[in-house]
Amino acid sequence: MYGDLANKLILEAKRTQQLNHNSNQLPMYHEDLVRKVLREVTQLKNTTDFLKEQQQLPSDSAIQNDKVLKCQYFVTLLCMERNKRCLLAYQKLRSDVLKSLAWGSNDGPLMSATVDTNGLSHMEQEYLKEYSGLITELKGGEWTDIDLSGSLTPPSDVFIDVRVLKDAGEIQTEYGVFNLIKDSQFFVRQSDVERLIQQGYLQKI
Amino acid sequence: MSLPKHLQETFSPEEIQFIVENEPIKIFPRITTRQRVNMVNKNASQHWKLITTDDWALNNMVATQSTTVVLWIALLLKQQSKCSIVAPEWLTVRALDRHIQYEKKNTDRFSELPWNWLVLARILFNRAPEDFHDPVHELRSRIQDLREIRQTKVLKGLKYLNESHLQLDNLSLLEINELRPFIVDIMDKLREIHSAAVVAGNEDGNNEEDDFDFS
Amino acid sequence: MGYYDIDDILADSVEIPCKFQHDIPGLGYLENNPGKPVKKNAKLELPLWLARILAIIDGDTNEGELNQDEESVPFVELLTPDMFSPKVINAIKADPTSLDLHAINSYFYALALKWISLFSDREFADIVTTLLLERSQAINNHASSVSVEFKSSLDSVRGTQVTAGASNAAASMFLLTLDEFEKKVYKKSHESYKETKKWMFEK
Repeated sequence: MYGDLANKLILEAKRTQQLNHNSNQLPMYHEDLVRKVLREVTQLKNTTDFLKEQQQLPSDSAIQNDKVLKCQYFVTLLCMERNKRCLLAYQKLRSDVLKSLAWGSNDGPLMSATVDTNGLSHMEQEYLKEYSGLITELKGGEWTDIDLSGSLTPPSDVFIDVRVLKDAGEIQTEYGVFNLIKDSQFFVRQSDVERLIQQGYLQKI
Repeated sequence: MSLPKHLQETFSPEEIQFIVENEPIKIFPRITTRQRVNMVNKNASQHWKLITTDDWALNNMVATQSTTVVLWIALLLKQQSKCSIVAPEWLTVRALDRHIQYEKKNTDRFSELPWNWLVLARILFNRAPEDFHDPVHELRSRIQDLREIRQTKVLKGLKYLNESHLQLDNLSLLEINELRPFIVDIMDKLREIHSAAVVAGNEDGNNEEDDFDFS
Repeated sequence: MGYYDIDDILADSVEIPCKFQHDIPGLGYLENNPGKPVKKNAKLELPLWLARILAIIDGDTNEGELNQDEESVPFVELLTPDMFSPKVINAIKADPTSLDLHAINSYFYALALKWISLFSDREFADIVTTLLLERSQAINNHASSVSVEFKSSLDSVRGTQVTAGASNAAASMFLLTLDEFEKKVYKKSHESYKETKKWMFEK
């Protein structure tokens, strides 16, 4: 039945949506399923062309034929539109996930380094690259003073306690030099260390 | 969207705390920042300039004379032991007891607590517990009571949810915030059902214009 | 709802029983009989995206010639599916909260909305409204029951841990009977209650 393949695609999309509820991940791009649906659409297009031709031909039971042709035409058209809708929705869901990946998770470690680009199709990789480029352009334009991908929780203290998670060597701040050794704790100004917290080197206590 | 999902529907409590911290509160400063009028030395070393709030209060403090500053400044000063915070009038055992009585007596209304009572109470308990006249544990238990009574009342009040409006007076910002996703979603759905039926009904020859047909 | 909304698309794929009003050759594949025509009065299960349009458009396109005897009849007629049968409606009226909506149909509300707008069924709309209202109270009750545990370990980063209140069997049973829309609402409101409670108890 036409539309069943497209339904499988949508079920994939639903699964992706549920996977993405808390973290941004993408399963493999279903290249073969998409191709099959596209082939089905071409098939349907051929059917509609054929039906249109038939309509031009004069025949005896004109009224009967008209109705019948109309119905067949509608059914084929609806199948095509259904397939189109499913394809578009699948693609849109994935591109939305890519967009939020590009913006990064504001309150946790930066995501851009950890994106698994193997699961994406060639087009999606392009999309991610260009969108990230757009974001960098935006951040570097008029908004250099505001860190747009910074933490979204409002600050509550000027100085906070942090614990070091990974060895990072020496960090130079306004108040001196900190030597970041694993599991050591520091009492530092929040604005200095926010970057490091985002990158995953420090943890706020 | 660039805004993460958990922030798209409603504020996070941290954001509400941030908003509340911008409200004025009375303090007893322990330092003096006010310069004498006839000081010849114009090196105003202690003159702070603040961007987001009015800096008059900060620059004109006289020790032991009560003054009003914004909450976040008060908390900073408190941390550096430069002031003590005056508890607001509604945060005393007597006033809270009165509110609790009102809540218990009127089961269909909420008492008139300030819009930020929950947030303010939590901040002050955590940062300035010794500035209260009454023992903190008593105040804490009263605040807990109030919260629980109001929560049950809200649950009852939600029975009157319909597609056009819901009126729950005197709820604080934090309480509204935690209800927001639920109420908005359910009211949306009710509205959709209602307008689906209304639009369909209009096709039966009834020519009323339905202004709110968003479906 | 929307063009790209996944749940809307899945709701549209649900099959509705339909009765064909005309003989249509060449559509046999709809009833798994490719090559054969579909006879008048044949009953088929068609997906909603197909059935909806075929039920609206008229079957006759007589150019200039209006046949007065025959009324223009749509290609199919939608029959009431099981989920909207009187049996279900009675069950709804009897006890909305204990109804297993997920078993009836996972997309009950979405389909009910589409059905109401197709058939101008005011009465049914009222029934669905009361259903939603009653169940939303129950959902809210479950969503707001958040219990708080205090972590006593010395080197814990966060002093409190908030757990979901669905530890009792009855609550989790109820959550299994929710349809997709209700599940979304539950998740969102539960998150918000959890966040608020966590913040309240943090130092």
